Amino acid sequence: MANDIAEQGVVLVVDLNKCVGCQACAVACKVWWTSKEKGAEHAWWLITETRPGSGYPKNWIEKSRRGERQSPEDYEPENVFRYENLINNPTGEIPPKITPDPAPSWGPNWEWDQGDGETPEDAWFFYMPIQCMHCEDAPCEISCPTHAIYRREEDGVVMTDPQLCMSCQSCFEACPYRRVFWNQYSGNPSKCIMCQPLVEKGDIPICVKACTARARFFGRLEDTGSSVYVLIKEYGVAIPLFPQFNTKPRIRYIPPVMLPPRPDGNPRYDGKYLEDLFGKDVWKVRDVLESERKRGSGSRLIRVLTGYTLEKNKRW
Amino acid sequence: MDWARRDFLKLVAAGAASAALVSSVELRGGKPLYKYLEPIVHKRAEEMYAGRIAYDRAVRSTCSGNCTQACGWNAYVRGNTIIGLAQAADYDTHDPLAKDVYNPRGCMRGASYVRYIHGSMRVRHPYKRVGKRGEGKFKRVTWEEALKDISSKFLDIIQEDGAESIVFFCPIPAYSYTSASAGYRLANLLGASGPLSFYDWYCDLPPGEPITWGTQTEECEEWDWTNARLIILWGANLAESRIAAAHFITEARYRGAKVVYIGTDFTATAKMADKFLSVKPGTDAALANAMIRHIIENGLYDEEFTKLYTDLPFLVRTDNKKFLRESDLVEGGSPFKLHVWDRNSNTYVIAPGCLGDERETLDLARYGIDPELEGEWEVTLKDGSKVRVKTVFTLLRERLKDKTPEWAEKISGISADTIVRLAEDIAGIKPAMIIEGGGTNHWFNNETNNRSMILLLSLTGNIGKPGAGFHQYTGQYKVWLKGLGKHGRIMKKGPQNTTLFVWTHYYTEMWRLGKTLDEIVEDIENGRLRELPGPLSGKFQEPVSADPKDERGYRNYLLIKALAKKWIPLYPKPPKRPRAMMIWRGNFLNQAKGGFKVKEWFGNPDLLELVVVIDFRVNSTAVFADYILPASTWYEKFDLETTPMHPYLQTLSEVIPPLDESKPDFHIFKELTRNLSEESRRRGGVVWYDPEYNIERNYARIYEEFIDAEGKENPYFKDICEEGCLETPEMAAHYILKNSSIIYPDPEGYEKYKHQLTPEVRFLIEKKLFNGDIDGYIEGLMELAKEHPVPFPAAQTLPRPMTPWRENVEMKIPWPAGGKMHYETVTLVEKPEIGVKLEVPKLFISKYLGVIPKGGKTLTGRQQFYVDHSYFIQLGEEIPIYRPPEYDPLPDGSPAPIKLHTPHERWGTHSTFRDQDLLLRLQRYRAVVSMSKKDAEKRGIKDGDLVRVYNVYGELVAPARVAPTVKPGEVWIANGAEMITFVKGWYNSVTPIRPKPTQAIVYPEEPDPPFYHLRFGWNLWGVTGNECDTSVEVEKYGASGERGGG
Repeated sequence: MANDIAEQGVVLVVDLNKCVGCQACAVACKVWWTSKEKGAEHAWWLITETRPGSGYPKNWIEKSRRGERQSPEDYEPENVFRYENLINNPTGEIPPKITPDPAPSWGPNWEWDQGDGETPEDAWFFYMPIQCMHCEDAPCEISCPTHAIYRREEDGVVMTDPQLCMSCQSCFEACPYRRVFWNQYSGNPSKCIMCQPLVEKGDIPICVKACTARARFFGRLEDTGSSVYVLIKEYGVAIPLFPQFNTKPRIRYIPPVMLPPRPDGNPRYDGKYLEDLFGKDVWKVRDVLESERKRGSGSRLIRVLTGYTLEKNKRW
Repeated sequence: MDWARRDFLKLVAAGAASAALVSSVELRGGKPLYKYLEPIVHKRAEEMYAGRIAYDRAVRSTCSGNCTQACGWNAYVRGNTIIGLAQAADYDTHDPLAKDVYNPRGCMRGASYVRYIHGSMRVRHPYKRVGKRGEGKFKRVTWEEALKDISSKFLDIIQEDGAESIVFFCPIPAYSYTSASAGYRLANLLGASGPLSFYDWYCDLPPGEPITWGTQTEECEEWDWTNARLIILWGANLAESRIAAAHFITEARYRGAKVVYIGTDFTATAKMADKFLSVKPGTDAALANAMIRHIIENGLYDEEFTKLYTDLPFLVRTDNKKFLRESDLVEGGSPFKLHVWDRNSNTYVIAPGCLGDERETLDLARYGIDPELEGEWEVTLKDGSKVRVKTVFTLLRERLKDKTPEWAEKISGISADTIVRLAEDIAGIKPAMIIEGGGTNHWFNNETNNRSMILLLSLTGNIGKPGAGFHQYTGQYKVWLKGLGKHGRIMKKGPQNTTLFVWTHYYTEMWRLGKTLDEIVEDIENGRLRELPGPLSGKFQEPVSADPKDERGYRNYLLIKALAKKWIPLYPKPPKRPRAMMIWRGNFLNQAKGGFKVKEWFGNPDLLELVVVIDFRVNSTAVFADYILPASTWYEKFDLETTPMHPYLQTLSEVIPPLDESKPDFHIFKELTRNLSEESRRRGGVVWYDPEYNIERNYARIYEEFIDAEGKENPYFKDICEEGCLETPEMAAHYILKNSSIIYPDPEGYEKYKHQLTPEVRFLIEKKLFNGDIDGYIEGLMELAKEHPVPFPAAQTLPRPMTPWRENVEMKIPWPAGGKMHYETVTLVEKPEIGVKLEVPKLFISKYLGVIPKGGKTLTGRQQFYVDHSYFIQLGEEIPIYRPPEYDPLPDGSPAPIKLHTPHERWGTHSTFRDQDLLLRLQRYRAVVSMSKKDAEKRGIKDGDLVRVYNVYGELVAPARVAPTVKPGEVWIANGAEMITFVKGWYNSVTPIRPKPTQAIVYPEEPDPPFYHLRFGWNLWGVTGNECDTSVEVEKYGASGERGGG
């Protein structure tokens, strides 16, 4: 676990046991960053997927494994809600309808709360917010011929610079997490920049501020008093998604190991599915969480997981 | 962007070097030239990004959508555009206790609200209908024209039929007090009908609380969940409906508390539980019954607690099922004095603290009384006859005898073993709390659900203690600021129960009979009337009968009788009918159960002649309006906001001026009132004698009254106002706050708890309030609240976190408000030299609206689980015992097999946000029907297929969303899904109105009680508009040979 992350710079941890799938993080990001840029409507830099599911863009895990490029149908189609119909109805329909025409058959959260199983007795799902991982060994950066994608020395944030981009789409194809979106209008990549203008001033990303469930943690790894240090280094409960990609991602997850069991007492989640995503360390995390729960607020880990961690200079 | 690149290239060109040269030329330090230039170029890109989120100023406001969370947001403004929102996360500013507790709050709905402000669904101008009702054809008109038309029509109706034919509807004042009360004030000045109730109509009122406790609803603040060791979320999908509070549950679990979720589907809340019990829809009371039985049979109950704080030891006659009363035993005895059997004297004694008793205490030891919890005895009545009496506890044990865990397993689908273990957890893990939600409260038998859950907790001593209790949080119903009633002039006459209003007028259309209510009751009793005009005809016509054996007909008869007896008020009364509706801050038509009939009314200008809607978006009601008046959004007006879930006073701010021609609701009503006065004068003075109030209304004067032109109500502003002392929302807010006792500190508590207040608040209390400058105190407090949330000084000078019934249990005083103690006050400020004396209520519960019995006591003076009203006895409801859900027929008369639920799931707050593009994009762009895999497979339906959902009342068409998380036997559609997002119809096309007579009563029934335990109060008690029993069938659209959808 020690070698799979950069030693310095910012990191972001998401506790998938606390995430309630509300998309406050995704909506905040979209409102602030990608709702006023033509060509970026489909670019949900951060989106919370329901898993098991196809995710967004559609089937990205399967396609990434096969080395297959995402196609335009995998993303949100153009859609315009017809509010003008409410005041100036072109048909005689009572009442008029605002649904985009044609009604889309895919979207960024199409499979919300569906998950897997047969009935509520065995059905299960969890939420996984996903954004650019700001990898230390970022394939997008490595693939870019013009250094239009670069990693900042100060904090490890991976940025995109539209001035230098020559629209080759190498980055779009290179990212194994498929978090580079393509803006067809401007001919540039569109991806999370870790709210770099805020982070630079010592502030925190908007998605972290926005998380009502208090499931997102942010800080710098070299800060041994920070919440992220406790989660990643001290207790080892925050692990990467697809560690086998070997990109040293700065976004880590506390895996969803606290689902209620089935009526017969067996685990509800599919263990193989979780291992597939997070590796065998999933079970170490489960054991640590179980034993620390028993210690309640006497445990530093529990204090971090139950506190309001965005207070400046808070120590644990 | 482009110029930077040009610049860079120019730089390169100026250096007379090609790009290739630049990349290969190495400078000192061994780096190519571009490596030195890159940071400069990158800096430009970073500046570009910074520029995208740059703002001029940030202003705090509060989200105002009735989701019950009342979250603070900072709005970031560039020019006059709000470019983004972020949680204010400032709840600990004036609350040193809650350092780590309430922050950050907010949710995706609040975060997306910018779309309503600046997006294309915003209403920016007044509109007048030019097409048919509901056709969506409007033209722009000026404010002057719109208000003049509306005033004219109002006065026409008043002159023809009286003001009662005009009806005002606006739900939940607490999310923006003055926006609501301005309209209520006008309604009162007109003598119009209303304001209509909402808390009962929306089925958020849990009737079991007034019945058991004599109170509207009581709950702990969210923070108290932290103190529980067992949390049962029962029909409460908190992760979706209380997103800002969800972290309290996950964090409680991390700290070792046990969380159990009881619901039908596997939801985001099930995901966060230790245990998930998937019940069959509508069977929850069976679970509760079996658990109560297990606790009683195994002696797991808290005997002391049960004896003192419940009516379980009270004596009930076995002949007529009524409580044993003093009037049964002694000539001239009181029917409001009830009895327990005293173990010490081995005879029956009058129970101290009951309604007719003078002793305002539950401390029975003081009178040497030790009541038997169980037993059966013989007593001699005043006429010499003998009758056997049993305690309520004995009757409970008898009624529950066969309600075994195995019985409950068959009904609910939860294994008997699980039921037993949960019962033992409730009895064994302390403290334990139940958080109930609409999932169990939106049923016909909701009161049975509430009452049996409260009984579970009461038997185990889990009431009135930190971390314990029964809590329901549906909506911002709680009027913490009592002053609302004064500014809005909410009086006894005018407000009414919307459920029976809609049922009588729009649904059963009783006015068509051309008779008064008394005449209709007579016709039923004489057998002359056997069916009601609506909603259906033919074999499905609604029966009425005075014969108890005709269950459905008898039920309708009891309801009409309650209306005729004025147990539930009704305006106008048949044969009159409503002619005009004024709707604001709500979506009346879309949310109306019995929608298939209500839509007929809204669609027909001959039935409902005038519909005016005030809103910032064109919702499904507005599409059916004659006039749409543009309202300010939540960031374009000042107002006050509170919620039952936390004790903070917050404000809305006018972050940017109202867009285009929109106005704050307050100003719209002010201008409308001005127009009405002017139009009255133009007509030579319009005057109407109001029979309900017995006064003559002179409409030329209502404007002066509206704005308090004489300065009688709010004299503080006499010197600075333009026309009157209640002419702005700020002045109205000042008035409301001043008249709200929750704003004043508890005098004893202040000394003890003043460290819980910040210096700014203490300064105002000590330097202004205690010196007699009450207005200065209010003004100062409001200024603080504009910047950051301020905890109610009354709450902050008592133990936090707040949890209800502590005073009752700690001081052993009658439920709900200590009897006469409800009116006891303490002097907070006394300055005779400047003529100031301020008294505040002694009890916390008396500082806000909520207590129903004026005498502060239920009939038994305790938590009451046995109700001996004739309606309850006739319908077998005295004790809360499980009944199977109701059902509806299909057009062929067979029972519809599937239950339709309309949960308050995450994507909207009722109907707000359900038309908003940003959030619809995170779903499926339109309303969907969620169904189980099993039911879909059986019907050949695949995920995404269009389906038709129907029963005898109507139909709707929408795409199906098939998921294994949905319980077979149930389908669901989001509550509030807008009609304008369906393919055909909408969810209320298939929901009937199903009023329950037990909720239409006054209690006690005997004449001239000193006070009433249950009696209609606006949103305090009334008939609820349930909808979960709705039964439907689902088929693939096109299956019946209709045109296939796409």
